[in-house]
This record gives sequence, structure tokens and C-alpha cells, in this order.
Amino acid sequence: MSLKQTFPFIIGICLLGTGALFGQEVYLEVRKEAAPKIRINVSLEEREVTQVLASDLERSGYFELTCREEAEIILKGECGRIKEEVVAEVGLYSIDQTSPFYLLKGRDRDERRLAHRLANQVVERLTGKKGISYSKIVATYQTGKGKEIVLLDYDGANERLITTDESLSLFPRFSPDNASLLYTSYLRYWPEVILHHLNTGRREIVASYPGLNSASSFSPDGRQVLLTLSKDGNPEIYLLTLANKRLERLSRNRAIDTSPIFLPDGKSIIFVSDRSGSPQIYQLQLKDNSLKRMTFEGSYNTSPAISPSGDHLAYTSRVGRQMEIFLREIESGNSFCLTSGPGNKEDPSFAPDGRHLVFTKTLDYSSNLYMLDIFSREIYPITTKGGYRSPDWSK
Amino acid sequence: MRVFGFWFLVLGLWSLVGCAARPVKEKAVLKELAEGRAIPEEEVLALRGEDIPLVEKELKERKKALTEEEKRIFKNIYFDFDKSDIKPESRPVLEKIAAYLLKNPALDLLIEGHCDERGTEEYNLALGERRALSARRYLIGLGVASKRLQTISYGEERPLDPGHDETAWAKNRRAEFKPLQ
Repeated sequence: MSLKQTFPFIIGICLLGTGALFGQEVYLEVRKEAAPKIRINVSLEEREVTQVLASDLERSGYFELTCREEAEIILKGECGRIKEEVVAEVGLYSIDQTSPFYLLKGRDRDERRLAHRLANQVVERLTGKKGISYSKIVATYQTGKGKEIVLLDYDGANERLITTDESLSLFPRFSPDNASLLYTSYLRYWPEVILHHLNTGRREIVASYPGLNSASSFSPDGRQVLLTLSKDGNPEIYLLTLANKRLERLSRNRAIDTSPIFLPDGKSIIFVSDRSGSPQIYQLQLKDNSLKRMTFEGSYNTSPAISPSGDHLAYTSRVGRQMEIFLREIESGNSFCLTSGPGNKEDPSFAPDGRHLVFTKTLDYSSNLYMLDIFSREIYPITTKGGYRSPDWSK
Repeated sequence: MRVFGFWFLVLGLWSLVGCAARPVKEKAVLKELAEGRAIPEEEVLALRGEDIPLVEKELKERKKALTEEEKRIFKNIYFDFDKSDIKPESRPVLEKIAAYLLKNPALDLLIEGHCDERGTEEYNLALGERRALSARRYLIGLGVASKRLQTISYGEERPLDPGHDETAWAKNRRAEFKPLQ
């Protein structure tokens, strides 16, 4: 064979080789988008802004905080109060440059909010991704007299009680516009589903059928809610249209059916059923009622949560005697465990960036909220004093 | 036409029998219970085959305390982990409760379903409800009218034993019976 004849052959092999290589890179990117992190040094004159900003950048998963000598990028500038406001003028500097390649300006009513604002700008400028520094988490908090709903910043700051019912309030969920919450409340003795408008504090009862009314979540357009009701003699899944109160039964099975959530496209729902003899996760297509079992490994798979893009399903699975958080790539069908170490990890909910999860970890009978980076598996605490459960991350 | 008439008659008779069946059955069950005879398993299972809708009711909280007799009758029943079927040892308890309810027709019953602390909260709330509904279905099988039986689930929220071991968990996986009036 002459060189002329073999040349196209070689090119072909090279192309094949790079194709395979790219394929693998794409795959690795899904798993380990985190690496490598940008080494950043944050030093502003104001202590609280520096602390919150640095913490936000670290929690975003894209940055590693370092000393000035080891940094690739330095974030520095001026910050101070002007009358009622905190004002900052901050620059991002490459290590060998004296003038900033990006200048950020911001003003806000307090240090924390200003720091969050700056952090989102830095994340967006350097990664192209949206920051989550402004996002909130809603959860239940155990008091001496029951469970109340609390609202927290995503890093645990600014905790506020949303209810003071001295009753049981469970499973709070944000509406798609974050303007209201759905939760199950025992305020009037029986478990009922309440819609709570956060701006006005107005509350309305959405579901008050005989028996159990619980486990509610919104449709992507916010007009419908999924419920678990036992009014027909068994816990089943129903779809309620809020405007006209029309109720449609979606499950019909002698087993427990609960924890329904919509996929982001609104075309199917995911829920938990023990129809196989143990609780497992199923997907139901609303168009043709076709049902697909999603989890097969393990004897206890519950509390499903779907990422905003619909790419990932997170859920709680029992491994041995302990609960762990699992992640499933919807397209490939691969599932893997995200958590390890002592304590039960339960009830995951996705952050708006689709990269982070909030979950409950119960250790030594004390339950706290943690955030987890699904790519790097790094975990940061959100609460520390115990008594927190059932978190939901704002949209 | 004549064929139609015949079938109407059959249908009519059948529906009459159907309507009459319940009170007759309730009496028969009561008699059997009074005589201390066990209820045949098939009879109970047959009624467990269907879900019986719950009826909307106001809570009539009972002001007076339970009598000594009631304390002996309204005992808790217990369940296996992640299960909601009635265990054989719970049957005598449910039979006594059914007999008492049949003797006291003014009395309604609230059945509370509970779980142990293991498992996720939302699933446990549904499991607790299913335990209460299992007990309810069993009582209906023993002749108690379904409209007299309310259920409420507390999931893992109201443990009887605050401990964190198998002894405590076994006590917490339960149904409690609260008379209403």
C-alpha cells in the first residue's frame, strides 16, 4: 500500500480517536463539572461583605478560596456605608495585572444582600452560570409545641417563622414563582393542604377531604397541585386545578401512592408506590397513563425530587440501616449514591442551578439541613441547632 | 317484553336482598361475637378487598374520660416495619372494639395511624393512614358501619415511646382507637 492510499485511512482513524475522546470528555463533564476550581482571593475592606461573599463563592462550587499568593484571580475593592445604604466598588484582577478585567458596582440596604448580589455577578461573569446566592429554603422546624414552617436564606441566615400555629405543619413547597407555599397543616385537627401567600400572609385551604390530605406539589405553570388523598379509602394521587377546584384521580391501586411531583415539561409525574411490596419510584405519563418503574435497587426508595432541567432525579434510598441520597441521570438511567458517613440523609430538593441539593441529615437524633454539590460531593451546613426537616429550595 | 319483566323482577329482588344484607350481617356478627366465636377469616378478607370511602365528619371530641371497660377495649394494635396488614394477634382486639361499637350505636370511632421514626416523613404519613385504614376495613368487615369510622394519620410525628431502639419502634408502629361522641 502506498502512502497515498493509506493517508485517508490514517485520517479516518485519527477522527475516530478524537470522536471517542470527545465522547468521553462530555461524559466526564457531567460527572465532574466542578474540576478544576478557580482559585480566588477575596479581600474587601468591609468584614461582613467579605465573609458572605467568600462563603457564597465557595458554596457555588466553582471557586476555591486561597491566600493572595496562590490565587488565580483576586477580588478586591472598596466598600462602605453611604447614608442608609451599603455601597461597593469591586474589581476582579488577574494575578499579574494591576488594573481589573471586570469591575462590579453594587448597593443594597445591608451587607449580606450586597455580598449576595456581588457573588451572583462574579459567578455569572466567570462561569456563565446563574448564581444561587439570593435563593431561599423553606423547611419545618420542631418547637416544643409542634412543627412550624421556617424560611431561611440558602446559607441559613435570616431565619423567619412563616407559621406560629403551635400545630403540625409539614412538607412545605414553593410555588413556581416563589410567591406562595403549599403545606400540610393540622391546624384544624385533620391534616389539610394550605396555600400560603407569602406577600400578604393570606392563607387558603386547598384540600380538606375526609382522611389524609398531604404531599402536595405544584405543576410547572402553578395552576394545578398534586395531592395525596385517602378519601376513597386508600392513599392515592390526585390532580387539583386551583381555579375551579376540579379534582382528577391519577392513581388507582390498592398500595400506597404518595409523594407526587411533576417533571418540568408537565407531561408526566413521578411518585412513590409500594405496589411491588416495597416503596419504589414510578413515572406516570399523563397522556396515555403509561407507568414505568424507575428504581429497582434497594428495598426503600422514596422522596423524589427533580432538577429544574429535568436531567436528574434525586431520592432517598435505604442502604443497610441508613438512609442515603441517590442521584439518577434520567437519560442514561444510571443511579449513584451521593452521601456517605454516619446519619440518615433524607428529603433532597434541587437548587435553581440544578447543581446543588438541600437535604436533611439526622445525626444523634438531631436533624439539620445541608447543601450538597452533586458534582464535587462537597457538603456545607445550612443549620446547626437541630429540629429542621423537609426542606424545599426556592425555584 | 316478558323477558324484560322477568329480569326487572330479578333485579328488584336482588337489590332488596342487597339492601337488607348489611343489618342482617351486623346482627349475625354481633351474635357470633357475643357467643365468643371467631369471625371466619374469609368473611373479613372479602370485605377488605375494596376501598371504602371516608365520609366527611365533624370532630365530636369526647369530653368525658374513658370508662374502665372502654380502657380495656380500646387497646392499641401494632404493625411490622413498613407494613400495614393486621397481624393475627391484633384480631381479638379489633373484635372486642367491633362488638363494643355494635353495642353502642351512638359511638363513633377515630382511628389514629402511627409509624416509627425510620423512613421518610412523607411516606410515613401515607403509611400511618394506611394502617388506620386497615384497621377501619377490618372493623367494617366485622359489621361496623363505615360512616362511624374516621381515620387520621400522624406518621412519625407522635411516638408513644421516645426511644430509638427496636423496642421503642415496635411500640410506635401502631393504631390507636379514640371513641368520639
